[in-house]
Amino acid sequence: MTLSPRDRRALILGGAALGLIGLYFGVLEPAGGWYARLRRQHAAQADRIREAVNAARRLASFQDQIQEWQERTGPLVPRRGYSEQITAVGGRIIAAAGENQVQLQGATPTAPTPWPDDRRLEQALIHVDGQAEWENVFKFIAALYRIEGILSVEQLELTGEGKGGPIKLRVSVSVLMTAGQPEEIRRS
Amino acid sequence: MSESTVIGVQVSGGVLRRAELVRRGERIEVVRLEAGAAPASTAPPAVGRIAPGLPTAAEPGGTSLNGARVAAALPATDVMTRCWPLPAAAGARLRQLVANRLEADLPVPMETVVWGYRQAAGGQDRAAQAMVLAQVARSERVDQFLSSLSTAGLAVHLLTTEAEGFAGLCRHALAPGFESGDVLILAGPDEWLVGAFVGGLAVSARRVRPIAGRLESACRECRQIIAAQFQKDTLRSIRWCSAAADDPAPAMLADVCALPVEPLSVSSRLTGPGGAPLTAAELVEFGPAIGLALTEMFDRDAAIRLAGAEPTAKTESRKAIESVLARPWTCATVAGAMLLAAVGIHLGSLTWELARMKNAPGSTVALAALDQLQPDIAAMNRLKTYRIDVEGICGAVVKAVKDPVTLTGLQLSREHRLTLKGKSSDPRAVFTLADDLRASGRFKDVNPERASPAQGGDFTITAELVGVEKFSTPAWGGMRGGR
Repeated sequence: MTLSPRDRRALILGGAALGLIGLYFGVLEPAGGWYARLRRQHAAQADRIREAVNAARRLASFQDQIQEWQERTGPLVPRRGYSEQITAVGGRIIAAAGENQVQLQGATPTAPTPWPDDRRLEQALIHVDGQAEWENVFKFIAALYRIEGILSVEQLELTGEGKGGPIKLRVSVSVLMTAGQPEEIRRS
Repeated sequence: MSESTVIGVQVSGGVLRRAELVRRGERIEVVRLEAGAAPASTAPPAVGRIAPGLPTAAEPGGTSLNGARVAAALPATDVMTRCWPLPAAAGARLRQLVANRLEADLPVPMETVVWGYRQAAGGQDRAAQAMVLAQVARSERVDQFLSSLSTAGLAVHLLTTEAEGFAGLCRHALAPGFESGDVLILAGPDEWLVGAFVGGLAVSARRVRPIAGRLESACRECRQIIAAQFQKDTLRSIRWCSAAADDPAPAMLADVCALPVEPLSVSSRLTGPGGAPLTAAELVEFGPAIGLALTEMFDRDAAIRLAGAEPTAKTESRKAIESVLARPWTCATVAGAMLLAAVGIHLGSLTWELARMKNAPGSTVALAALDQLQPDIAAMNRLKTYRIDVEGICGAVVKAVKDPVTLTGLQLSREHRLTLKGKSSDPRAVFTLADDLRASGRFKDVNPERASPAQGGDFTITAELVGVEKFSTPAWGGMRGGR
């Protein structure tokens, strides 16, 4: 059988078109799909690793900061209830006053109130009255901040004659403790 | 016309032959071949026939050069050739050796001649001597030749010798197989051009005029030329190119010289106009002109230069780029291979990284540890947020207090409000103190009040703390007794 040049050209073109279609569906399209899947998996795994690295960095950073604070103030999370905490903190306040030549005249705790951001915690104030030289006042306040459980100085009142003598000190510190104390203590 | 277009001009027997070649990648195309009468003073005395006039750039309808480079050869009758073995040297030292040797050989002063030389390949080897081909022409004759070409509209970039054109033809236009130790004969109907090659140098380009019916005489003349250049048994073969299909001369020459005479074949890289192969007649007629153009195209720097514009020095990088661009298929193949390698590396690295990442521990461990740490983090943030820096505040206050101000009271309330009480004999000092407190950056809404100016200058200053979170402490709970 002989083919005319026109038929031969048509066959060649048709064969080439079929070859191209076969190449696309047999090679290019599967290869493209495989590559797209590979890229998606790679991106997902990269996100997972990025998240892990960020978490590890955050963890290390927080551990450093927490260790630094704990070296200054002791354990950060209150572990005691109202009575224990007030007793412990009160004792430490008396000791700090003695160490810094503060003539302590009184230390009065208030009843606990819930800590608004965390219902597992409570807060109470301790009002401290005393008398000391100017420089000892600040040593005493610095010592207060090293006592475990004290959150902050809430109120401070210094009164003196302005002639270099002892000054009267009235300071209120907030103390954090774990919640769950008997109801009668709250009411008192 | 680009820089890769080169015109070779050969004048012989009063005929100026001109071949225009264009380099297209690795292929060289002879785009035009023309022959015409040589300008009067280009032909040496007692020339033979005069061919029909060749159009020039100066004449109407003449060919414009359009920036093409022109290589021409001084007729062989105007050139004296010497070939010596010289001690291995290069550069200025070799040039001085050649100059000394020429001075001894020439019957005329060196000032009246121009000369050039070419060293055989491998001549820079210090261990051996190397053949050096030197060619000399009278300066006066060179000037005449150049000026006559100039009047024909041909500004010559390289004026060399016919032997160099012959050598260029052999180096770049003939198929592989033609080597040193061969003789090449371009046999036209009226003239045979016989070139002898020794050590890669075209040491001789001589013409033989065959007489019809007495070809044996021409063959014997060829034998004499060969015997003058080659020692016994050093000639390997004679290559023959003839315009006539049934030429009896090759067989006769083989008998006379007792050597094989082989037909010449042209390299496939050299084609005629439109890519058609060059015919034997064209090669015989224009072979030297084509060779001159090839010499200018490929051997510009090494060719024997009797005159012409000095070649522009090419940088090494440009030479490297040109040598790369001369092989487009090689470049395309290398680029394709590099692309495939890049794709392979990319896919390989993606797969490898994916496998490693799948085996790597995720964030679970770190997130669990962070969860365990949450109470401590919350406590730390609480301290950072709510703790008042009493020392810093008092330090800022003390720093701001200057004579004559005396502080008698400092009150820091749980609403983070600061109240200062004191005395000052100078009313302005109170406002200075207030300004200093504002400038410290720790206080805002600093409000100085003169409480009792007539009683010793008592004053009160109130201010708000900056940068401390206000905590809504509940109302004071009931006191649980004192200590």
